[in-house]
Amino acid sequence: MITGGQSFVSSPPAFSHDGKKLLVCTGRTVSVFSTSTGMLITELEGHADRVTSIVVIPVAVAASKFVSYCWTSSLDGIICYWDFSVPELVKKVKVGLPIFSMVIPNVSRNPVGSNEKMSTLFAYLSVEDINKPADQHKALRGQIQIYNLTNSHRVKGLLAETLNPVFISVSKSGEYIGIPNKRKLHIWKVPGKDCKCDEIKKIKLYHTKKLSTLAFHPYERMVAGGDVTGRILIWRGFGKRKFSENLQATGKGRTTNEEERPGVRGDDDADSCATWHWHSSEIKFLFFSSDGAYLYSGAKEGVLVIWQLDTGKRKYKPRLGSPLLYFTDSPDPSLSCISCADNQIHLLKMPTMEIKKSIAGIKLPFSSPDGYKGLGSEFAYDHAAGLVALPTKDYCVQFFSLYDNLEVSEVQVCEKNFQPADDVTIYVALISLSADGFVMGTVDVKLPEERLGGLVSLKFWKHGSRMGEYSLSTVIYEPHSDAGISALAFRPGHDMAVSSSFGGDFKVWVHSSYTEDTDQMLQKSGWRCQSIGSYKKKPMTAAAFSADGSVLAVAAGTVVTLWDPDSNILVAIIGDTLSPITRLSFIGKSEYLVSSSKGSKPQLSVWSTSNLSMYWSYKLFAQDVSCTADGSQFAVLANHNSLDDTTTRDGDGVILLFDVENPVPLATWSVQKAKRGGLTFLPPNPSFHDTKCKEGKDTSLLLYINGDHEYVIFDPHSSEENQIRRNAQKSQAPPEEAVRFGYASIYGELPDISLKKEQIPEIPFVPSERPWETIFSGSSHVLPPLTKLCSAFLASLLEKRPSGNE
Amino acid sequence: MEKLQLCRDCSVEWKPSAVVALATSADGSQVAAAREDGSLEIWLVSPGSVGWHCQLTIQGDPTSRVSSLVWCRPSSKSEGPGRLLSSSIDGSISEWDLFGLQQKVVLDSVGVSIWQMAIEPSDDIVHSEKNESGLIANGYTNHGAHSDSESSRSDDDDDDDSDEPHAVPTGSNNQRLAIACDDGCVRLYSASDTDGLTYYRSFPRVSGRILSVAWSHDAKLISFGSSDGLIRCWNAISFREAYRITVGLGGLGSGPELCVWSLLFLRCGTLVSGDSTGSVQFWDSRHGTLLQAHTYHKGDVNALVTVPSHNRVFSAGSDGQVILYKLSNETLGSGNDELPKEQTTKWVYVGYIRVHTHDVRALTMAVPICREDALPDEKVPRVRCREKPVDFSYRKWAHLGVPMLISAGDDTKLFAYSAKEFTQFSPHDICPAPQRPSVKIVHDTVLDGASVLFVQSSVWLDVFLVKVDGNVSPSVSVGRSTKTQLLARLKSKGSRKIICSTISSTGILFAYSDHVKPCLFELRRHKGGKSRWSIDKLQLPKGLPYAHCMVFSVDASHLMLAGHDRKIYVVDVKKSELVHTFVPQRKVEDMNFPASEPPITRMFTSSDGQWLAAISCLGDIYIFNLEIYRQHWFISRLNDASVTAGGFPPRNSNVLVITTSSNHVYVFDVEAKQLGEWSRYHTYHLPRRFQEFPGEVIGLSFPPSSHSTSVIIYSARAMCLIDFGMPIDQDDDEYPNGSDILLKYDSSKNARAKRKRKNFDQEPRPNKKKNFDFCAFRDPVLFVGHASENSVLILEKRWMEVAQNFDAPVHRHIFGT
Repeated sequence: MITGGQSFVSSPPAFSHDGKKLLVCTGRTVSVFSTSTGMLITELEGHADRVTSIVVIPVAVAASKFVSYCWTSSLDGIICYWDFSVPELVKKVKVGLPIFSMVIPNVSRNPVGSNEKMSTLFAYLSVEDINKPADQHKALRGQIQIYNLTNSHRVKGLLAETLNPVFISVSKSGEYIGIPNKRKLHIWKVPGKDCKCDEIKKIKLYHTKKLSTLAFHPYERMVAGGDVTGRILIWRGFGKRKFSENLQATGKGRTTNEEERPGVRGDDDADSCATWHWHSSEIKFLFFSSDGAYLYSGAKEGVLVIWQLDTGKRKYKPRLGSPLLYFTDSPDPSLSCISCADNQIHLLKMPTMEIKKSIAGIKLPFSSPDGYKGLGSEFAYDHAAGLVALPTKDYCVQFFSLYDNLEVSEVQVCEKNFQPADDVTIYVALISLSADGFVMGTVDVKLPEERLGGLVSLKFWKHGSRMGEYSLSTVIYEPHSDAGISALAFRPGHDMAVSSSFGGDFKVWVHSSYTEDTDQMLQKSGWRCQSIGSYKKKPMTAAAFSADGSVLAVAAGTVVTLWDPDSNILVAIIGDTLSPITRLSFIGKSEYLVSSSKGSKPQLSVWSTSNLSMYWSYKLFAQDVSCTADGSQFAVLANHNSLDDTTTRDGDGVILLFDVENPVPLATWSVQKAKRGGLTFLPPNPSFHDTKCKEGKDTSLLLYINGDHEYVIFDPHSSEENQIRRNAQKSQAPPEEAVRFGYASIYGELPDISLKKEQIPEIPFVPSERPWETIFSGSSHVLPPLTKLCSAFLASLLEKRPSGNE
Repeated sequence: MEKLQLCRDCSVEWKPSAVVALATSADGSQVAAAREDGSLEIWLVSPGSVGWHCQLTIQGDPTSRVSSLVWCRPSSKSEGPGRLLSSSIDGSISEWDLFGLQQKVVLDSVGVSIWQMAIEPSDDIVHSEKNESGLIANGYTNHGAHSDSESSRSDDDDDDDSDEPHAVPTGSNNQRLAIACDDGCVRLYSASDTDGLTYYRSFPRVSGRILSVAWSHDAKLISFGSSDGLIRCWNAISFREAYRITVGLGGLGSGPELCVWSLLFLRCGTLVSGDSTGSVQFWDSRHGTLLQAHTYHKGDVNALVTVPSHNRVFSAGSDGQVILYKLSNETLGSGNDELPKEQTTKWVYVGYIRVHTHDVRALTMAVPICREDALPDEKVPRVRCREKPVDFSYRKWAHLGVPMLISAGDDTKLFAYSAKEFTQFSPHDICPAPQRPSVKIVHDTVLDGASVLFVQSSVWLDVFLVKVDGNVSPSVSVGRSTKTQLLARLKSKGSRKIICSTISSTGILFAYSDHVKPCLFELRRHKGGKSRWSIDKLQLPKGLPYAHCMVFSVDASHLMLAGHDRKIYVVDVKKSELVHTFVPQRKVEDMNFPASEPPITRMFTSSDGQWLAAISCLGDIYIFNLEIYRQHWFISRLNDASVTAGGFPPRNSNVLVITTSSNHVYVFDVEAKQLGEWSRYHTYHLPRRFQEFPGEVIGLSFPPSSHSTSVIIYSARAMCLIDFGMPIDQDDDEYPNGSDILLKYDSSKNARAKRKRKNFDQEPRPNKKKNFDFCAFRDPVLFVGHASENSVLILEKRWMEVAQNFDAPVHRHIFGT
């Protein structure tokens, strides 16, 4: 079983203490990437649910720099302690409640390798109280708890209760922690040694809008908060009254200034509060640079804004292409990373903010506008190469290698720059790949504005030299006038495609080469329409070719019409379903055809083409249907609750494996997040360590992609799991390169000069005849100082015995 | 009382002009605002929303544009608020005579434009700071929480000092005035107390134009900013250049395009500059090095001002923003307790307020000192309010001794902000109807008995015939528009500014005065057609001075003029001869003294023609008997507040109704020389909502019938009906004993907010039979007057229409560009 397609951006990543590794929360595992190559090094497996935060233990002395430990927390209620260089699970601390966020403020005070005695580690956890009912409106389900990690005991008491679990921020020194809670910030001063809940001092800072995030200045008493409207508030001198009462008795001196606290609301404990406003939507992250001179902020616009704190001037890092989520800096000052909502983590070279590397995951699903919905699956598969092609929000098609869990390439479909903040006006509606993967067809839709300017265009792409590389071959604007395209299918073994439209016709496209009768005799090739067919003006909702390509089946509403694709003759018409067919598929090389209809009366039907009748059918809401290439089996992804889309949660579904002869499913698997999921059979991959590749047995694998684009590949015929392993992970791990430090990192290696010098044989010194005549010639300012000249001059006066080289 | 009909009219032309300069008087109680058309307004700064009152308006020379205003300190010997000087673009310096209400040129043009003036800070600032603690102990004990130990009054470019009685007279009473000239020269003049300016010396001429000038706090340094992006600091004693600062940020250099518009010296030795790139920069004035630079303005920075404690700076610019910077002390190394803490001071940006729709031209700081009795103690623990502070809540932050920031600009409005709680409260629009034309209405004229509206604009007079459909059923009571027909328009001679005007009750005689002489006219029906009208000029006796105020007697036989020589002349219109001359006196018994009282700015006559009430600009009331031509009574200023409006009701000629700037209503029994009965019982127990009247009361209107006991009091924002014959119902949010302050505060606030919302949501309903009922206006109202007994004419104008006439703002941000 291979899993993949996890989101890299569900939680903020963390750098290792030397900045060479990046630890990313990927579902239930933590993936460790190399920051120099951007490749996966290893994975930490052991959590049973989504990992939510990573705290890397800093290292004090250089001697122990190969030690790399981290704490992770997960929704399964367990905190784990890892040695991620090995990787090895060292310790587990059971909390029992889903942990949404964890910080360990005093982690920096006792780094690994320091000679001091390890003091007790306290973790501040944001957990969800699952005992409270979820449907109750005002239930405070979020709690901030303190956990003693050293002896695995919870410290009594709660710091705060919130409506929902929130993200905890910690200052760099570990002195303060804070959370946004509705329209206020809670800030606690972390006590130095022992930790008791009731002794922790707390202040609140109020605002008029809901706050979404906060950040502490690295060394000044300054906290920045971002709200849902895009404003950034900078409180200076927070907590001077409350936090410093016990430390010093200087509280008296401050009372005179208490009147003057501009911008601070009410009786909040801060000196002043300034507001900056550039972003137009909710602030996703705020981050102070390590020198404290700049503040980074990001939101939906996909622009990283760099604020100079002293002057309020802004710089921008635009064109990141997607809403920004997190910003993390590394111990290496020249490296930081930014997480984008399109499942990419960009490693930035710091002062210049160039993207050094990108770690790209599978593109996350996005909601296409409601006006036009592709009825079929939104995925296309290159079975031979093991790729899935899926549309992205920025008008691209991403090719993602299923076996390697890696992005292979991206093909931009529309010539338009994507702006994350804009409304969706263009999207890729359909992708289809030919069986051999040499041709791709895409349909992109431009939505009309004010009922004007809508455009559907069909594009054919030619495979390039590399995997996942496609070049545009033909563009057909409005292939079915202004009607939308419901399906696009390629004919196996031929350069032929069919597109069916809701407008009531289908077109058969052929690839043809022609020469232009110009001087250059350019050979051009392209796709053109060969024939048009229609059946009773009914909207054509699905199309499929048979496995040998001899029959074209097009669903016209509730009936299936069979055509001869070459002569475009209607051969036969099969039966009637209750509601319009949305998907058609020939089952392998058999004579059977499977169709599924959605709508109020969903139906899954198997038709026999030989006697033109329904063979058997189910009342089943099929998300996706996939057939094996040559066998007689097909798999159906069905939703549990088959009714209309509004009532279905993107909850559970079931995968049913049928043999066409038998309406009783061969096997069933229940899956989660089946809505907008996909299903396909993949041919067996020879690179697997697959021992049971026996003769005569169907060895194809089944791929299931769920609604979050996480996928799993498994053998549908074996009951055991873990038979298939990903091909050697070790091969992907980059060799640990020698990392240059200090001087060498800037100027490169110094040439080895010192050794060579000694090996040079001494050249005998033969003085010229009269050196004293020339030694003082020249203008005085170019002459060496007299002290040097003098010895040379005196030496030259002396007679040298010519015994230099005897 | 029957229902009142409201008739709206918006046909009156209204073109206010931009404010170009502001200056605060030495005692911080008055702010002078110079407008682009050459007029000057003196605003009375007083804590509380009741305090804002335009005390004086002086029409100056419309051809010379004022570039800066300076209010000199009065020396210990002289009385009064000190001299008010203005420089003009044409290079002259004028003094504004606040008693004679005229502009006097004290320095003829130096030949080049003057961009800014700055007066030397006086030596006894040191004294004042030493004595400050004593002052506070005496004067501010009631307001301990708000007394600021550093509340010595000082200002941006006219650093001033209080007129303490015990201040040691320094060697010379002359203050040096630095003027920044267009030719690159800074000239020093010494200004004496009495009059005149004497040339002292000039600094050497430098390249570029000198746009701004500032004295250091010890008067040893003088800095001036030029149009080539340089700030030069000169030693004011040795007249040598100390250093030079290049303003351009980030090595931009000194281009000819970079103008330093404003400079400000702080007591701590920091020099603040504002320039045309929108930067506000803080410099160390000892070395001329940059401390901090902020570029938050999107346009030129026009003005800078600081609070008396010199720990905040406000800047205003052409983008309409007013920005606050604060001195912040930060402790570095607070993360580790072991490390020594390092204190750094920094000027940090705090926030901005943008209420001006156009460029902000000037800022000033005023510390109001109230001579009135303090209002009932308003200091309640402020509840954190969820709703936006409404305008009514203004008094919450305006306490005695609290510095207030006043800004004004091209949108002709003046706004007041709390300097200390700048970001917490929305600013207060102290001038909702700037330069509103003066309007009078007369009923039952000889013109077919119709009502006549008489409108005085800046250089012309309009006479309108008002047509109200009188027979409309009373149920349609609200919002009817009236028809006004222009009968005549009289332009003033030589387009001179009209100071005052009046119309007789017959509607055919009217008079005006510019700053040369008064004129009298008669409206006469043209012989040719019925609807044609012609204006004939009537003769006035020779030698009449020009007048500040004039009024006709009720029978239109006599014209009373309050001349600028502080005498009141009574002229018989028919015979065109001077009948009598009154000299207002403080003591009625002393006669025939030379006129020494402040100028008369308002006059009213009683309906039986017996009484003439003349009111000076400071609020003193003089009552004259017109039958025996003697001064009858002198009422010294009421509660130390100015009089905002007044009148004799038509029913009873012995009653004088006066409203003051502290929002009190007084009813006098003139015959008996005492407060009327109503006033004795109720004046100090008026409902709270009346005391918090939105905006300054600008007029009264009595119903023309002889049996009505009510009066309508209005400001530009609201009107209120008081019926003297009805009991004052103490509304529920009134607690005279003030026992439960908190409760009162909350409930009144809520009630106020509710009322305000209601008023804006639906049409006002003034026809309920409740005393002190308010009716808020959506648009600024210029005039409210009874057209007949049951209908009220409201002259209003939408502010958007008015604002469209202004010049486009220099900086206007268009979203998406």
